[in-house]
Amino acid sequence: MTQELELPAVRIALNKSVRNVRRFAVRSPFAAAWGVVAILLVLMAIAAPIIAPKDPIKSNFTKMQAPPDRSSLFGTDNIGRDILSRVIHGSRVSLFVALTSVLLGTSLGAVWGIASGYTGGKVDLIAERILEIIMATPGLILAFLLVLVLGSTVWTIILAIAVTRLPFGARVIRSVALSVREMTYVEAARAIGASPLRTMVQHVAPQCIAPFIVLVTVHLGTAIVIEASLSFLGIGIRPPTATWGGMLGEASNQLVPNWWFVFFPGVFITIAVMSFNLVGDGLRDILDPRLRGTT
Amino acid sequence: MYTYIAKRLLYAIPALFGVTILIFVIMRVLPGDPLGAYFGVEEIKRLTDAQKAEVLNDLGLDRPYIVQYGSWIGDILLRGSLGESFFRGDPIIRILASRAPISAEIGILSVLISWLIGLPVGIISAFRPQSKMDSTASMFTVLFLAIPGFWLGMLLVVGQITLFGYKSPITAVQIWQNPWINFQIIIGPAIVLGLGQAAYIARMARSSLFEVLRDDYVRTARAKGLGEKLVLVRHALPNALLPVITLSGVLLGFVLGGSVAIEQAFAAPGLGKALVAAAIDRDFNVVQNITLFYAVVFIVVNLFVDLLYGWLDPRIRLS
Repeated sequence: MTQELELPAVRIALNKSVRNVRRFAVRSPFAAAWGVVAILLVLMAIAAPIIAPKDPIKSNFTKMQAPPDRSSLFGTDNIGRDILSRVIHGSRVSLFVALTSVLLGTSLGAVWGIASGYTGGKVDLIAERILEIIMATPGLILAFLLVLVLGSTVWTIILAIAVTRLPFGARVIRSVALSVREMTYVEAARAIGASPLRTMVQHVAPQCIAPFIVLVTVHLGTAIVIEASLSFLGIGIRPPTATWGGMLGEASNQLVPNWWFVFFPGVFITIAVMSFNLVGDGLRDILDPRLRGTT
Repeated sequence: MYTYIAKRLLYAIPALFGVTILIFVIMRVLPGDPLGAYFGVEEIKRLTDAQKAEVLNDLGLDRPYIVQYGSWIGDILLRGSLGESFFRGDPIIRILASRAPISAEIGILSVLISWLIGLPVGIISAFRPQSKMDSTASMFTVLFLAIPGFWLGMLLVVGQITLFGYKSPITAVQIWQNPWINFQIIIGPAIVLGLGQAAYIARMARSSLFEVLRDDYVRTARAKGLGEKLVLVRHALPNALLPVITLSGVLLGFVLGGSVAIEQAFAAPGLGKALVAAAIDRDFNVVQNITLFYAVVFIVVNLFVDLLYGWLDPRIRLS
């Protein structure tokens, strides 16, 4: 009985999302093509242990600093580790940290923005001043400071990057909350006696979903770069775990790094950032054109 | 205009104090253990409690937070002193004096480069939308928005070494000491940082000019027979440039943060390199004050951009 009830619901939801994806592909084919690249990168990260031809951590001392050849396509590093395998495994940390930190930072920002925009008055004023202070410290430097003090673990790095993304989420969502607050259906909810919390969750928050999705995709690229920069500067995830930024950091410790140490990790950072940026731009144009120029 | 200036100044002062509090909270109050960071995890285990207390006392870290904060800010405001490096005993002001000018040169030159490249590209794209030039330009824009500056820097350094056997100087030489060596230090980081900003500038200049070119007053200017050059220079550009100027101010965070990693990539002896070196040494006093310096520069330059914006555009200062 329950199955009969549930199946159509699932099918309708599935149909709807398929239709949405198709609409996205038709309206911005360029962004959709890069969306495929982004999905491939995520799949690569998930399936890293299966795809990677070699162990990313084990050294092969008979083959150190070898330039790219057939058995190791991207060459080997200083202590004979296969760079291709390290790049593939590196995507796991880079993408996981970027995705989690942006989701966390934007969610906190959204809660902040809805609360401050909907409540208004003094609360809003103070909340805005606090955001200004966070934004008055350049993002990378703020994240650098936080990781330095809290120590380098996956979760402190996620938290640090999330803090730098929070103001962006709060700003945009606040402006949505401000305009939704004035709408008559929200006034109606207030009139029948809904509490502020209920109004915010039931009536204001749903209006913020589209900008939220756009914000997350648009900031993913920045988060990837911040994570890579932190690892490059030597305070990211600790070695021997492979990360794209960390590989570049290790290469820069050498007097004369070999080009293949430097080239391949950076190419993957660039492709990842570019694909998320372009998908974000495409989503923004469709979901929320008002956001153009704000992020 | 004066009320506008006064209003902006009033906004900047609480932001400055807020930043000192933010940095102080991160450095001293958060659960990170200053001694653990100072000595490293292994060594801290060997210290007795009495030894720990003594070190804390030496560093002044056992005083109440409010006293620590007060003495930090008091020293800066009253004595103009940023304190000393934990390890070397160098006054931090001396680190700033030798390193900050180099970073400032890199920053300023990078902004110049970004305008010199970004603006013409944006103008050409806006005048010929959907042309081959436009799509080539937007391809490069998308690419440079994604390339991390420090990676581009590393590629340049590796290229220079392997192709020409050249490495840029790594000891701090000021422009007044030896302009040529100084130029070799700053040019690489400035180009990389400038290219990254140029992508943003080109994109903004294109979209902003694209809109202005469709405004009625531009159509009027064309209708009365003005040439395209005059329409652009006299009528369209002044309005189209306003958002580009704001963006340039917004990008300052990108410049300051990005320069830390890029200086590291080039081993350029700027403030960012000093910050990273201090962080690796766990020299928290240096880290704290260099960070403060970055934040103050950020706020002050943003204030300046705001004022410039208000001066250029009466609509802003009157609203």
